[in-house]
Amino acid sequence: MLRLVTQRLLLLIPLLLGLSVLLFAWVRALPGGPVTAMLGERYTPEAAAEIEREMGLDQPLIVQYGKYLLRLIQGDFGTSLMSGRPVLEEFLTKFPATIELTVVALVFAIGVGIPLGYLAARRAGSVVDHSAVVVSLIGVTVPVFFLAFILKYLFAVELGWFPTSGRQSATMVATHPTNFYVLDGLLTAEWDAAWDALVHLILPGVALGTIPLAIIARMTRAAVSEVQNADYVRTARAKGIRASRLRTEHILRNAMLPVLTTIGLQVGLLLSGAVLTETVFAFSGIGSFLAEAVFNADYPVLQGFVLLIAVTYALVNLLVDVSYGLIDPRLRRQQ
Amino acid sequence: MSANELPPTSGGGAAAAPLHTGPASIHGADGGTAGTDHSGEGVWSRAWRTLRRNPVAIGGFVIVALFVLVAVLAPVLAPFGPSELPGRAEIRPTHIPGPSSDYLLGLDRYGGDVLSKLIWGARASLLVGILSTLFGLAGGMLLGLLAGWFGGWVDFAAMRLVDLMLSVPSLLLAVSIAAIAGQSQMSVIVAIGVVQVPIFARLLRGSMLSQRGQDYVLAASALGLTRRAVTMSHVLPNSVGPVIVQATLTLATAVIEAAALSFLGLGGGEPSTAEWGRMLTAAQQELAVAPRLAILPGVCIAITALGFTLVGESLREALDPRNRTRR
Amino acid sequence: MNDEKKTQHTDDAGAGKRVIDLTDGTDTGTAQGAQAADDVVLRVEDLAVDFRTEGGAARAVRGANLTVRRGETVAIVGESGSGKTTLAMAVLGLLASNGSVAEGHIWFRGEDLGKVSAQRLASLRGTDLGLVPQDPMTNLDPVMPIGRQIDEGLIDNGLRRPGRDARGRTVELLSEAGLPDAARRASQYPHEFSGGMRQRALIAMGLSGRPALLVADEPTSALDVTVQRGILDQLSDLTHELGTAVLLITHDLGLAAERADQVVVMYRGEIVEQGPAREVLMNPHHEYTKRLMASAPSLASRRIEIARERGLEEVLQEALLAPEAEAEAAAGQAGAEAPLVSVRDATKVFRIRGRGLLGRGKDFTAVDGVSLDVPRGSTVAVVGESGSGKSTLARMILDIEPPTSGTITFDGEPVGGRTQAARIAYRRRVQPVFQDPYSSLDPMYSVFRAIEEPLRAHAYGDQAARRERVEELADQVALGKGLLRRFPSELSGGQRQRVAIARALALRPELVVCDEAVSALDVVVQAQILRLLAGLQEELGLTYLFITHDLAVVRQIADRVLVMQDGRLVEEGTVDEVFDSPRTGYTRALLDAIPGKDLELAL
Repeated sequence: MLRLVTQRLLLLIPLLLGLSVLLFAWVRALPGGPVTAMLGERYTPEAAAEIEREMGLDQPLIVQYGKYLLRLIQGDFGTSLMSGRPVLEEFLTKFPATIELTVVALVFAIGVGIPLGYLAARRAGSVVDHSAVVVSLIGVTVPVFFLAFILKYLFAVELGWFPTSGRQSATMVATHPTNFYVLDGLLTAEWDAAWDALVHLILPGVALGTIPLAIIARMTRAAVSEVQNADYVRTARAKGIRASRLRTEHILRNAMLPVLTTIGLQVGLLLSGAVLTETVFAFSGIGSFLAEAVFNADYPVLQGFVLLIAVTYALVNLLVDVSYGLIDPRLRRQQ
Repeated sequence: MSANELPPTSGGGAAAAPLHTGPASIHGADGGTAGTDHSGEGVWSRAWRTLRRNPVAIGGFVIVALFVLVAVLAPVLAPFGPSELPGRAEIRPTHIPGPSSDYLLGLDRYGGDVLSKLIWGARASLLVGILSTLFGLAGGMLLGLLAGWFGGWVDFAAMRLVDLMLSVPSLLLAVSIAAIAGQSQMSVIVAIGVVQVPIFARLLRGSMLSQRGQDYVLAASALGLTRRAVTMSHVLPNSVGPVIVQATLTLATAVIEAAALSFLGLGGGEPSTAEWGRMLTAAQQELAVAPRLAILPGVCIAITALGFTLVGESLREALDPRNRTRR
Repeated sequence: MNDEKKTQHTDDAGAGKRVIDLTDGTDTGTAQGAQAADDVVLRVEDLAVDFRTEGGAARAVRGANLTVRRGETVAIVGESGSGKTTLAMAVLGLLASNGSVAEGHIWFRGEDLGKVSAQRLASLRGTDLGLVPQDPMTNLDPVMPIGRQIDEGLIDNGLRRPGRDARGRTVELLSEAGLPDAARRASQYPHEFSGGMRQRALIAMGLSGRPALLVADEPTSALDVTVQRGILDQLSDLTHELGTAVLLITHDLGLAAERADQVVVMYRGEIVEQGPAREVLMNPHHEYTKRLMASAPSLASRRIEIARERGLEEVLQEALLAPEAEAEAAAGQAGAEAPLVSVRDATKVFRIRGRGLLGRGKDFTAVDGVSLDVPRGSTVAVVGESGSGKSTLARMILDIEPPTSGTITFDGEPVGGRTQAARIAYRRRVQPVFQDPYSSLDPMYSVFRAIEEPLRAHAYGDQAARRERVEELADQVALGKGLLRRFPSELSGGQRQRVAIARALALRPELVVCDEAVSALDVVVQAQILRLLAGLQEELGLTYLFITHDLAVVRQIADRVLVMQDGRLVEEGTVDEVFDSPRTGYTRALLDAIPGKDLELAL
């Protein structure tokens, strides 16, 4: 297992190197070149000339790339044009919010998707099955931000059950040692703050989780239908084991293998979706910040965030692979 | 690992075989006619027959047909032009007129006729959907074909590129590309297309590899067919099924992604442009006052995506080899 | 290992069972009336099984009657699709969800299994009813240790308590089924087991509840022939010891003859013949049984068969004198004519990629210094189990895989040739027929196009000439003209194989390499294809290289046999030499392992 982890971490290096080359090239391909991109609206010919000299843009490309890489290794991802703060700092302060949101979305997607898919497969052709089909169709055909609009309009604007935006009510006074607001509330025993933060997560979480839910439900349905017709399930029935044991230990466990892979793949989708959902709910995570960066042409932020998100994405997939090994003995390395 | 698990055609040996123009050209020349001369029922015609009897597929086809019809006939159907703002005078900051006999679905905040804009929007969506899918398909097929054909280091390089592109969440990739390509509809098309390239490439390559291992491919090379002939007449035709299914589904994704990109302010043009994503974005401000402004374009996007999805899914089902053999 | 303990234990279990049997026996008597014998375990009466399909109910089994007594083995023999497995699964209540007992009764010790509740059936399974399924590769849960898969049955059936109690019994059961080092093995996963070991685990599982009736569904057909024998021996010893009644499902007549007391022959859902094994097999009444017997890869050598067909005594005489004469003739021929194919010291080494990024690659020698000759116009068979390197050898001769070292010459010229033109010319003269009729034809090509393809590729005539040639070929392999328009998915396995043969013959090759060309087919079809191949050889003067694991096929068709083991050639000789006086232990083991060897006495 340890070998698998180190191996995968080593494989990350060429990936990140490749990505850094692309991002380096990307900045140079931006309309107006890197300096315009760096300066944004503050562009003047003098400032541009100074920056060019400062950044060594008159040097050969390979030297420039080397310097860029060196800065990256030192954790210098540049400075945001909008806030003037380092990109890495912006990422780290905003990332907890997005993690919270993604976790809620995933919990919703898995918690509803797997049971729904399982029941649909066990009772093929039943009402559950048909509703699972409808849910999965909604998931793949409705744009996330439209769903977010609708949820916001219905449950926040019209019914007033949930707050319309933000991570916490403006009136709430709370301390934030970790920037995970729910966790902060729990740590500092500010229960009302934790609750308030959680309530703010519900609507965006559901909006964000619907697509993964649809995909997970669909995958679960397919996997369970296949596994329940597998030879080993028939053989297990021939042994006369209890139905509950057959369901959990044989059918569900085997069906979880492809579902797990699917869940890993959803993380990329969630990060894409977070950009849209956070914007609709004015939820200040990396997603809404990215959207702002796009809007304001804050290229250092885009450049840095893409790299950091790719790292996150890769680490999550590593995690999925490791847990895959826990379920499937065939993937465990012997010795 | 036992001996019989060795790959049937190890990449190395076969890949080293040079490409030739041999008797293959004769084979490729009128291969198509032979199939139609002796009808029987091929994979595609069987899939078509299955599709025609599948109500889900029919539903999908009807939606797609309606959508295409509306898009093509927009100049005839729409009461107003795409950038006309006929009701500009009637808009107050606090009041946006709803449906009336003049404007069947009401006005938006710019004074545009919502019905007209929805109809013109279909045209924009169709354009973006088809062009970006074609772009992705062409790029992906090319990359996948290179990888699946040459194998070896070409395959390695192509697949690393694919990994690289897939390591960035799709929307971010699209946004980055749109940032380079500038503010225009074309840049949205390119951005969405590029995002699809790695997906198509990986799909085609995987499909080709699995076909390569089949005995009929071995049999064909044992007939003395060159590698190119075998690829063109056996491997590729049997590999494109999943790619075509994916392309159909991509039409749906492209419509949605295009809306997402214009929601993020990419795509250029006036905020009042007759484009579903743009309409949805603009409507965000009036959610409490006039929810229809958001709901109508949203529903249009969803229904269009549904149509393509239904067609794609039924096509996948019809082409599934597990449903193909009669037992 | 610890024989003493083992036998003692099985005695215990046997004794316990006997008590139950006694009470159940009386039950059976009252339920079924006077004539029911005490020792009848299973009585199937007028059974019909239906499957719901889109086109309405399809009857898979109809009017089936059979009886299985205590300690008796009853074999149900039939081709795939004959309904034999359906019948057995109906007994266990394990029909697919769209299947159901439509008519008749399944009396199992006084209960009608066709009528009892699903719960009752579930409680009978694993205790009174056991199953040893067909394919050891797919019948074990891949994510659960083997031991636990047996434990859970013991626990859920209330036979043992969870924990050490159950595991102790599991280890006993596994070693009883012949699995060495069972205690350690029990904690391993299926992928760490070989096919034979998995099958032993499945036997342990099937017998774990000491069932009164064990359904053994093709218990060894997925295994290599030498492994088969050991496992069947273990199975029959165990069931004999325990007095278990066995319902053996098989397509293999030899196996049925060897292992069963009673044989039931099924054909298209009906039982067409049944009776004591010997009687049915030696004196078949029903037309289908006769056909099955005639086409079984009988171990009578081909020559005797031909003699019988022609009814000519002198041929028989000739055959008896043949070995000498043939040896002389062979010697004379060898001097006169060079072999068509000549392989010298051919070796093929594959490089197996190491695991992961840093793993080091490993060399694997698939074929190790093999030399052989294929005389013109003869049939040479290469026999071996999976992994013996026989298919790699075939690929090298086909010029699909280059040898790592050694030479292969064809008609005096090195195989493949240096130029592309030479390669293509070579391919015209050597053609393959592959094993799996489902993957050897392009699903998108019609039969016509498949057969025409080689003609097009080698620029044979114009369209009309090609059409004529395709029709001629179809005629040669006895494919109806109507089939030319069909696609592979619309053909049966035998028809597909005929298409593959026609395609191979299109260019009038000299050598045809048949890689397990008939092993995926049912015996009757297999016999037809073999007869076709023999006929074509005579007609067209072909040379065959047969790659197979099936010795019975070899005896039917080959002149010379080569036996391969672990990449090496271990034995070589004429069919009679090898079959009658094998020189190596491995060949002997292979021969001994053929089920129903003594069947030839019946013919």
